[in-house]
Amino acid sequence: MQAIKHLLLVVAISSGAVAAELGPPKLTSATPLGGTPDGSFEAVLLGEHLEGATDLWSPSIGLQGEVVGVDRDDDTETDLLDVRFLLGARLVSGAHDVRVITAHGLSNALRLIVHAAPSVLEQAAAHDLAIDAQHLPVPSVVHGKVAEVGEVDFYSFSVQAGDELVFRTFSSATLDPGLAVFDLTGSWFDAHRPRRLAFADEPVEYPGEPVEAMLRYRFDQVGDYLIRVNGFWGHGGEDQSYALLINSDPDGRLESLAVEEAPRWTERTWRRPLDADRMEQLAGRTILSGAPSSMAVFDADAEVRSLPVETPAIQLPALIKGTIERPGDFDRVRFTVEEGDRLVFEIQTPQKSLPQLNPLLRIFDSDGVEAFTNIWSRVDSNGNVSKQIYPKTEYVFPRAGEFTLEIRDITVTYGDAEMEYRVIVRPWVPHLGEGRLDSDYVNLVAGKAQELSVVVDQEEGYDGLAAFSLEGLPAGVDFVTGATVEPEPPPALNAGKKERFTTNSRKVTFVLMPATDAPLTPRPTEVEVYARPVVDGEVGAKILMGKVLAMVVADAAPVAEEGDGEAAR
Amino acid sequence: MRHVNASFRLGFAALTLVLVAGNAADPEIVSLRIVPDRVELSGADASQQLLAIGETPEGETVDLTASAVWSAESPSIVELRDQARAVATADGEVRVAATFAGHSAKVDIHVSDSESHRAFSFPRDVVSIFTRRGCNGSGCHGGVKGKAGFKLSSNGIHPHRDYEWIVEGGEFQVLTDEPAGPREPRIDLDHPEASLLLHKATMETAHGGGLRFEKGSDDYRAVLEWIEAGAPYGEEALSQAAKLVRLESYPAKLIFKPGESHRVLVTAHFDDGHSEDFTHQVLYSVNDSAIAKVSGDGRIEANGLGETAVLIQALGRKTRVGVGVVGAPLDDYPETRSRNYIDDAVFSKLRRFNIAPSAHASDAEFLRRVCLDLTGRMPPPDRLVEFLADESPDKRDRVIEALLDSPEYVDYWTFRFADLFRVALFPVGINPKWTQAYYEWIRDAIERDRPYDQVARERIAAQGYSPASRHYLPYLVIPPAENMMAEEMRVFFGRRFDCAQCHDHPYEEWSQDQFWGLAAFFGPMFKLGGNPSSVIFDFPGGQEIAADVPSPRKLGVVHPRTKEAVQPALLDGSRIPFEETELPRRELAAWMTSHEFFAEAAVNRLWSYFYGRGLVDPVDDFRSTNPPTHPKLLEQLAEDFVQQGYRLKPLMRRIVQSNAYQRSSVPNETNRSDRVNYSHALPRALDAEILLDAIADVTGIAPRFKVGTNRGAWKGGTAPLGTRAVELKEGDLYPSAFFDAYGRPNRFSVPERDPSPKLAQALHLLAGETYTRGLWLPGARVYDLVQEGANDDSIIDALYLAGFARYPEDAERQAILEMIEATPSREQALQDLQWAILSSREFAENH
Repeated sequence: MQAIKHLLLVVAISSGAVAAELGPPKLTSATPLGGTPDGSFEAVLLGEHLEGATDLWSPSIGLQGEVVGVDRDDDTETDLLDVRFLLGARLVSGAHDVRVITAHGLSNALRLIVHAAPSVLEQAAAHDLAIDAQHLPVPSVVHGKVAEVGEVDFYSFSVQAGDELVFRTFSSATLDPGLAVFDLTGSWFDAHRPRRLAFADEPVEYPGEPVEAMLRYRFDQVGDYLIRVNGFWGHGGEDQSYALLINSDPDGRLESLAVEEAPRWTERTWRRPLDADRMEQLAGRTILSGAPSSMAVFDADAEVRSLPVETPAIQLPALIKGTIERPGDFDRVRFTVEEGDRLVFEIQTPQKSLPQLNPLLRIFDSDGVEAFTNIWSRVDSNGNVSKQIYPKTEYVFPRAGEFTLEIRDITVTYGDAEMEYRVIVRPWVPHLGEGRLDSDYVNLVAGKAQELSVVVDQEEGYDGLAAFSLEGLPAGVDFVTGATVEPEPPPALNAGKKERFTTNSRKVTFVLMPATDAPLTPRPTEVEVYARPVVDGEVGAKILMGKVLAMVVADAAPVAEEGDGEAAR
Repeated sequence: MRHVNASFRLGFAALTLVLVAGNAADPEIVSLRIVPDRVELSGADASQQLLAIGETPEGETVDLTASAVWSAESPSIVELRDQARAVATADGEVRVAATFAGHSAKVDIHVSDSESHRAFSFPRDVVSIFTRRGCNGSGCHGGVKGKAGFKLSSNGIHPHRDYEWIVEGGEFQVLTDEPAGPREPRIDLDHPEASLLLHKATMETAHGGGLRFEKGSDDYRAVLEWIEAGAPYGEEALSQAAKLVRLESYPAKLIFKPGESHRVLVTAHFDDGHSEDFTHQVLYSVNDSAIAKVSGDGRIEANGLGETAVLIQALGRKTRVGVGVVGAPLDDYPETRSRNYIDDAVFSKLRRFNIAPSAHASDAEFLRRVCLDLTGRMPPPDRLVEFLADESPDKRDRVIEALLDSPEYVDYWTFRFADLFRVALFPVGINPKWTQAYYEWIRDAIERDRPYDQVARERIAAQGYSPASRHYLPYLVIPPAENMMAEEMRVFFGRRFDCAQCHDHPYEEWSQDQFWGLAAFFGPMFKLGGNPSSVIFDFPGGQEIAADVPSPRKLGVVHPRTKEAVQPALLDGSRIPFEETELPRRELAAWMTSHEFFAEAAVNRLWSYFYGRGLVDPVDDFRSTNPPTHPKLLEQLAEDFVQQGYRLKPLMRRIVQSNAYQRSSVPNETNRSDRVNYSHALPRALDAEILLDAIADVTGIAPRFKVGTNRGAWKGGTAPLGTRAVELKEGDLYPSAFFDAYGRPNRFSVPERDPSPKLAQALHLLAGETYTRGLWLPGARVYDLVQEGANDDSIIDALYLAGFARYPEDAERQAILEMIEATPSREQALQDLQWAILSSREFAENH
């Protein structure tokens, strides 16, 4: 964590009376959205309650900022914060969070992009026609915005024959950018009409996937070409900012503007890593009576080649690695269970994932009858059958015998080298699972209690206790645990085999209590939330459930709304 | 009750084509004969319609039945009723004669068993009345849902069920034989004349279908007598004896001239080998009444030049008479040159029908038309001037190539196929990103001219999260299998199988079993996940996976009648068992795209985009009773398409290069009424999007398309600056009063654009923003020309070139100059001129 140097404050600190009217600061976007390492750039941050901003804060070492001034656009009721960022030479390329500090506390995080390619700022003059395109060097990152409703921004660039370029966007949360590449050959109707060569929106439009556009194009002819940026919804405004990377890709290595999330423990996501040390990892989240079982690794693709006829048998626990190499491809393994065996079937999709790869696990008994799958079938409130595949399935075998596990894509239309999977079949390990905080920052007011909740999953029938603790609280802040009532969700018409695909969770609420004389914190403090498994009176190791930034402020700033903890892109 | 039992030999089987001449007035003939040439009548009231056919000196035939004088040597054996209908009255042999203009002809009629009343048959004696009176037509009680709760099988194809619905009553429900509510008979055995069946038909009780027959008419009496007799089904019918197997018409083909007429004889052939005259027991209808009309007793009247067919139906069977109406021979028939097989086919037929093609289109007319047809745009004035000045002989071919290679071609044909493939927000999962992906998939296919069979296979068998699979998720749900199948058949086969969903197809050989066999290919489809993340998959082997939750409804396709699960089966009856295929729809797609129907439907649809109508029209209504205007040409186009790798561009090139396509839209005396033979270009209203873009091009003011809801509320954004109407990826995301007025379809079903003028269009012309906003603004064509100091002549030229793709004629120019002179404000006069151009048919039509 790096405290940002507190520099010049142009705007006078507001009086207490004014401050009382202010809420917590909130950031929505920035223009430009980033810059190059070992450089600096001036930017305007947009948001609410930015008056009186004193400082900028980032967890990234080498990212510093200073507040230069603040203005307000009364039409849009938006605060415009002029800032200057200094980017250290060692700052790694990629997304970095930055927050604003005011007298009322810390803002949500805004993501900036640091890139090696030179920065170019969008020209002030309109360039919404091909003939007015702004020329860009390759490689470069141009920072611009879709300021007007329906605006399109044309940029030109030069290539050699055979060049392959990659275009990527990084945009503010309010913009959903699209890209199109054009040549300048015109048409019979209009010599100046750009001719579209390629178009791209996000590679896959799917819940949870980024909306950033990415386009790769190989140019057969030397010459000047155009790239066009527009917003999908045709909105315009100061908050519709974007960075567009144009990069050549001679080695297949790309500078990415993609956002990489910090690794955290998850159990029901398709891309979580599944490795041979899975049992050891799980042992660290519970209390085991003995050493964790070792896990065999089985290469399904290789085994299928060597044993084309007989379905290979595996010993459990096992990690099965394979690929749906062609449409309709599937892999099968056999395993044996005893009556009452409790097994978990976990799937990871390391490369392609949903919705391009939809891994279907089917488990057949020795008669070839389907025993169960990783599909959760339900009947919704309208009486419609709903089916969805899940990355983790728990099952209790009612009888002993040999079973066959089949792994395939649910379609028979897709299959390639990127449709890779990892499947772990292992016994249940009751343990503490994923933890989810309701916010990633909290502004505490001296003398006033505030809640902070964490939900922790109890995986695979974990029925022990969980002991929670907070570490790193600001001075003068204490906590006690409280309890809240969680409303019951409405029952489904037929919830199906819910227990195979979901887990029980517990929600713990901490009541943070800053003393009335708790010292104010000029910068945020990182508070760590831990849980410990407690089984049969034995207390296990600390498990980090999450981190939260905390500040103690003098004013009665309202609590950040739920979801504010999500960083604005 | 009247019983009929007649058999006879017609003896005119070889006479399939009749060329008719001159019966409008008394024609000159060289011979006369009676058809049929021998008649045998058996049973009481058996009858035979007779025709008197004359031959002219030119060798043509003429129907003189109405004009001839008829007589029977022994009136006690047969009675001649109406126009030469011989009805048996007593056993014996009798000679009937017809006389006309000094010529006479005779036929021998043998009557037997005239006292013998044949066993009653409900299908033959009652259902045939329903058919003849149109009661069981598809537009009435024979429709899928019946009418007002009363259902008859279409064209009497299922008489047992008709009997049940009449005698037992009950309110019909679709897809089940069970009635809704209690059953109340539609006949009253105690008080026959009070029967609802009769009251409705005679309008004694309000009847949406109107008067079907008069009280006291023959048909009324027949039905009444049947009820009075206890409403039997008929022993003979119950024993399934003597089923009608075939209808035959005389003539099978008819060629005559406007104003002439000819009667038809219809013979019913039964499975026991006997035949009967059914001329008065069938329903006649005509495909194109602009060509010919047909009366209820089978009299066909020539109307306009061209070809059509008269459809004849009875007891679930049908036949047709091909009708050709030819013009008078032309002494100075114009010489035509063939560029390719299209010209050969079109010109030879025109010659055959004595229709002279219009002149070769002028360069200006050609350029405007070919630009609109290939790119949806009018030629820019500078390009037009350049083209007119170009004297090279291959300039038309060169401009065709330039247009085929233009980005505007891609925009336009993407728009066309986005229409056909129903790219819109609501039909594509209410997810604009899905709509965009689907649109871009089509655009890519057009841009690369991907083989159409590949495109079709991808769409029919689409799985996963692919762009093409999104069309299987309208309103975020997978539609019923039968709906999906019917749409794919309509789009790629040009056939409407929907009729066979609830009953065997009334006009075709498609059975209900075939319909559900095809639907079964789509039965295993399911979606993974909720919205908006649905992935399409098919249950492996047709068996539901993860069936641990009982479904409220049975998954898969269940035959509505038998209630049994249906296995996929192709039209030819070959089954594709689920266990033998990974993906049934893939098998179906492969079969469909290799079937002749596929290429024929594709080329026919493409043809319609250039000629304003298909060789089969409507383009998605191929059936034996709706034959192509040029069957061989359709075959040739299909063969060409296949040979060119199912690519659209070569076929389009072939079409627009043809001299037939390059005919003028100005008709001549011989082809003025022709709308089916491609003798001249048919003016077509510009589609809403094309029209709006054209207005923008002429005025110079581009419209902006606001993102909105279907209720018109603006969502704060617009389509990207510079977007033309044809480039809108999801039309319903951009509400527009203009589009609504000019017939933009909502694409909820396979679109059929309605080109007919509407009142809203007239109002829009007068007060709509589109026609008023862009007339006098900086950037507007007229405004800028005035500001540049252009004189009246050059402004008139500029507006004519932009709007009409031609220079004004001298008289037009003079009139406009006078109008400008007479108007106090020159600016106002020029604005008025522009408005007049925009509101003219010449501008708003492709011609």
